[in-house]
Amino acid sequence: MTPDRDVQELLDRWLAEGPTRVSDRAFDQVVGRVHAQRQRAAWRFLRREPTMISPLRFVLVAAAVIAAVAVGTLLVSSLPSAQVAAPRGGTLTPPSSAPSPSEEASANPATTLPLGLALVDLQGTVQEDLQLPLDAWVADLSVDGRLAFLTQAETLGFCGQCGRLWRIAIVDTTTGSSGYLLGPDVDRVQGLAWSPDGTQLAFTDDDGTGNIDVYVVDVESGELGAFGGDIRRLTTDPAIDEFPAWTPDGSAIVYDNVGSGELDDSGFARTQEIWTVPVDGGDPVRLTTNDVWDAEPDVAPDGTIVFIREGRPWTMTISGTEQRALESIAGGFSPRWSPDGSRLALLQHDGSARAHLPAELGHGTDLPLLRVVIVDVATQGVTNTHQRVVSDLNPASWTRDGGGLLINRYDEGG
Amino acid sequence: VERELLAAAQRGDEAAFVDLIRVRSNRLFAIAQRILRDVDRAEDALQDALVIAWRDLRGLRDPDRFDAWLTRLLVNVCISQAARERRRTANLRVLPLDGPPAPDELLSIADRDLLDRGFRRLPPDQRAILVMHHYLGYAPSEIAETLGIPAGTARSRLFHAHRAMRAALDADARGQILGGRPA
Repeated sequence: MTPDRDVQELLDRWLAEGPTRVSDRAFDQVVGRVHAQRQRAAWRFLRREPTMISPLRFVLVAAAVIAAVAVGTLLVSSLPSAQVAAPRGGTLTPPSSAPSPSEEASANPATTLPLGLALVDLQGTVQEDLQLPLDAWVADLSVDGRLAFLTQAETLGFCGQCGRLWRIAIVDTTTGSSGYLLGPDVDRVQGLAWSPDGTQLAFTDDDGTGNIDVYVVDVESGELGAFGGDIRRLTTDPAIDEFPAWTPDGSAIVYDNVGSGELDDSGFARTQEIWTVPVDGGDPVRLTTNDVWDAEPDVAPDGTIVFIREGRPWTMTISGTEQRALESIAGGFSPRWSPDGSRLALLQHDGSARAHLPAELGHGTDLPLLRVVIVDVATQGVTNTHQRVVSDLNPASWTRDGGGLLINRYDEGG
Repeated sequence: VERELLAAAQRGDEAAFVDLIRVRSNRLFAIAQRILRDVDRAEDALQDALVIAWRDLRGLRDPDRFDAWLTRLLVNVCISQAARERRRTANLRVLPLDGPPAPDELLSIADRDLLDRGFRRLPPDQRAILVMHHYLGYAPSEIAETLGIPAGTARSRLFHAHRAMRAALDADARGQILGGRPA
């Protein structure tokens, strides 16, 4: 056992080492960013939610609502008909506040980002650019055509008080209404997955200490803007839980737990395994046990789980048996089953280029690019859509009819 | 002069703000680098923290708290960034090398390696506490004041951070003895 005193002396010496001078380049970038950033009025920090609506603000709110409805209408008219289910209506509140255009421009650093949510067909042809906040991240499309995604942008009136915190934004493509889920304890969301019936969202959230766990929120009963609905924390393990996916009956979440092992340079640990936890309460059950990493599961309509084992797609039953590699597939990340379970949308690393994002997004500035490919599970044939996304945190999401994908498209050419 | 600069910056004077942060940026960068163990990410965190500081400066009520407020902003940005880094951004991340360390004859390369691995295993908030205590020389009461937490909480967190660091070092040593695979 190392004595405390020794540890403290070592820390004293060790932390005294290292660079102590910021580069001129970095400081110049600060100056440039300060110049581009508008200061906030002090009153905005005195309350969490705006309660007073001035005439000017009312006009802006109305404009934002009209804009949101217009976007929604556009979406409705452009989505494949099979996606547009019967309107749900009334479950999402319109934005409660909207910043001025100048506030939007200054608060949303993403206006020139090469990112954008888009619907593409299975050959990769863009059917629709969704014109949503360009910093949208980790999007998922529900069975009834609702988009959930993370954003810190204060655009479209989604989140007037978001600041730099990531919130869950939702756009109902059937009604055009939009809103965001906001809660004081839910501000570092990292993953999203709609329940099979589109009434709940599973997500992973950092509780502020670096411990990321799985949560579920009932979107139907939740009051958007307040996150006042039924939020349940399903896992509490101190290791990171991530990539939640629903079982077909909506009774459980399958996810991966990083375990206690050290992360390698790619961010995986040999102790990383696939687990499942009941949505209505109960202990997590481990589905894989070995000394290699297993991650990023998704569950097919028949219960077959696809997951990534050391960079290659594998499948197993819902109880963890019959683990098999998809031998012909060279590798991939973040697989997503098609609605009929016959195909997978998979992300494959594209080593030919890197994605460059602004630091203010907080994702890092130099990230890998991944190609979106379609795998026919029966033949293991692979179709390249020639579309790319940034990071394996942005899996493709299938449209309800299986004829298209929602992707967070990376396109440096805009 | 500092107060005048701060007042001007709070009125929207960019040049005044730049003057204020110019003399503080090296210290803040050093803190960030030690928490994040990466020069590029430390510079990113510094930029983020200073831009947030500029954006929110009008909300600062007590000018005497400017430095503590700035440090708190930076530490929170570092914790948030480190938490994100603990899970993958994707495969094949290239880790840039840190700048050359100043040699301390009392620390061997093996010591540094051991400390670095142990430190990286700690949760980000514990890393921040250790940097504030061992690099900045803050007492628990100063840590509490800077982070806006009760003094007892700061003491408790520091105790747990030391214990976690010791456990990480011991675990690493055991792994080496037993032929484990340290990173």
